[in-house]
Amino acid sequence: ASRITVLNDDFFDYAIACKHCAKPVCMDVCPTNAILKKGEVVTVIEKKCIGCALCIEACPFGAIHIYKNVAIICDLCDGNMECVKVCIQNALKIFKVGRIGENRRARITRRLKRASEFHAIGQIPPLEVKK
Amino acid sequence: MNGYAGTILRIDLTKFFIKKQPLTIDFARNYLGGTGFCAKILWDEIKERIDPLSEKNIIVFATGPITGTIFPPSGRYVISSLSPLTNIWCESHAGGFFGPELKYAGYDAVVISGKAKEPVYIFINDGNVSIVDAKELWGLDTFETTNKLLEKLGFARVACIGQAGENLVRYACIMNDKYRAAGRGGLGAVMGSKNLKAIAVRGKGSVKVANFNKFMSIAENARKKYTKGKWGIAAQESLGRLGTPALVEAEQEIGRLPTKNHFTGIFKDYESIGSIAIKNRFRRRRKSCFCCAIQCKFLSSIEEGKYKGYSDGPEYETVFAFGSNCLNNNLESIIHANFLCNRYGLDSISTGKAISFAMECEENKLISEGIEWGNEEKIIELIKKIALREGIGKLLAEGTMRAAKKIGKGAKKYAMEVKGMEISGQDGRPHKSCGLVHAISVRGADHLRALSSLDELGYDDVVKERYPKEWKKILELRSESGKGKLIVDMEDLYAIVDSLLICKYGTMWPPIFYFNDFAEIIPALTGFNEYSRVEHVRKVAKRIALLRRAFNARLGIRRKDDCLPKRFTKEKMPSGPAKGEVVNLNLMLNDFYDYRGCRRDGLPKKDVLVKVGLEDVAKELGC
Repeated sequence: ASRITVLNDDFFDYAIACKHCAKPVCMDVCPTNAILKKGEVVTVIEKKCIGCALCIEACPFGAIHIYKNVAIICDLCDGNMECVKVCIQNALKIFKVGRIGENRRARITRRLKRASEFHAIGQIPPLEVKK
Repeated sequence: MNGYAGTILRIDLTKFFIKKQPLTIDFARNYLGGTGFCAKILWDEIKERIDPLSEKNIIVFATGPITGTIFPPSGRYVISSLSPLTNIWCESHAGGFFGPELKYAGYDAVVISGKAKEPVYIFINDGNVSIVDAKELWGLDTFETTNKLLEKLGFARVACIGQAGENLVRYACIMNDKYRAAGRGGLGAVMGSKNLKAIAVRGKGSVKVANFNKFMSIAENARKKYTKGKWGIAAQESLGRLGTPALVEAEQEIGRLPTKNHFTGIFKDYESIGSIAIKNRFRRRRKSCFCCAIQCKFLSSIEEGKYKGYSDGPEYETVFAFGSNCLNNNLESIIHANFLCNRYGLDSISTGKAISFAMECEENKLISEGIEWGNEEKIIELIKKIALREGIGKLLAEGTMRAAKKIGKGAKKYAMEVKGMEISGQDGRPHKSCGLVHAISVRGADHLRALSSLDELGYDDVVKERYPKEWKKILELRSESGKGKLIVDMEDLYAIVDSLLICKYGTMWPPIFYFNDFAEIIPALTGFNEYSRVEHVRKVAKRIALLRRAFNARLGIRRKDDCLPKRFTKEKMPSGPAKGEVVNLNLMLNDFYDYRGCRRDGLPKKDVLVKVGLEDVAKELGC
């Protein structure tokens, strides 16, 4: 089974995979301690997993499957993400948590800077158009 | 089993009997999958002419070895049965997400026979298969059915029929994932005759491949070919950016855009129904089938007015069928027609053709229903009438061939059909090999079994490489010579494509994959090492193509049925770049039969059948 799932409907396509939370709830609820956090990555020790599906209940994103009685969680392909490589629309990217915040701040700063430039010459800035 | 799920599911709706049959390795080796499986199963089980809407008919849903893998266009599956429109072989392919899900659930094919007493749907949840009562779904359209089932089952992929299928309209289609249609040949009516409203599938399994590393690198290469390089950029520019409606402009340019029920090949208002207009005015977002690298699908919506609503598409075939074919230049009405066809579950090509047939009959005073050319309100009204079989819709729902017979008084010359199936959005007069394709295609007038884009668009380097001896003749678009070899080669190629089940985009246009590519893909995928020889791939292709032809031959299809309407062979093209052209079919047919290995009367030759391993078929045909 795939470790990433795509949900789609008329107006959305949404890819769901493990977000490798800083404090994974799935790890907390696992009765056999089969889910561990190795560095940044949430991993399942398949020998220990008993397929009880408690982690599925706990995960707020619905990112876990049970296949052949073992929990399946995105393992980031050991750092060599196949899904990111094949996404031809560049919709999938990999970021560290710190980078997400930085990117967001940079985007807001860019917008403010642009607005202030227009403000200086007394014009309303046009809407930022996504390319 | 590498590349296969390993099970064939058999469901008898009369006895409520479900059986899981292991897929034998010989069956997979000999017939590969998809249309190959369908051809063998139908050959074994339908031996004579029966009523396609009776309980004796069977309907097969099949996937191929590539379905559900990471190879780029791998979302397709095939439905096959005896067609109620043509009474002969019918296969219909669709994309979306249903096929892969079926394979992940663990089935290479689902064979449904018998007839349920009351409306039912089938729910396949991995190993658990159940036949469930569907009284509350009966009478709903395809959107409502899908939504209701999703609500009930949570996550599933649904293939269902709308009211048209329930009312046994002879060209009703089967819709999966709401918008992907297995359109042609009236398979929806077959499902409706079995009282089968829908099939819902949920699968959590996976597909194993023989040589993982090699297959991954092949898939990576294929993805590169689809997005980069000469063909990749061309595909992304036209199909990716504009979708299939880009063909409206392209066909207009070569004078092949069917206008006024195939009267001519150019439409003066083509710009108002073209791809640019759709993109600028109604297109909302891009969509894609499972694991595709081109992604030609899109969702369009109309925000206000009487045609308010949203739907995927329209695709080229719909645009021409309700647009230029009916002399209708109102784009909103075309999008609404597409929306209605999707909801009622109608094949938009045949529906458009039935309407234009009625318009031409009206013009010649054979019927009087007030259906003039280009009357968009009448078109919308007629779609509803056909789907619900009301008034004149009752007559048109039988297909143009039967309708023409009932009207009589020479209405036959306005019915644009071959073997009963309405002609798709091409014209044989400007593009001679296309006329041949319509005539010889196994499921009736159809472009998807053998159409060649090589001569149409003049790809001389590809033609020179593939046919080093005949390239000069093949490249002459308006000449009849040399086309037999080209079309036989294309029919073989598409037999393999339809068996592996990848999209025609990549083989028909742009011409990326050919037999030598498949000789690389199949061994890496399935571990059948004999397929690494190109000759063996060609042999299997021939086997599948000839088996389909033999199936039709056993039902009595001969040369007289491989024909074209008089409009193509007698009436000269009145305007456009191909002015004055007609199709000289007999010349091309002789050429085709010679290369195909058929006698001049259309029956496959014995030695050719024996050579590709179809001894029992040759025996049964008695040729």
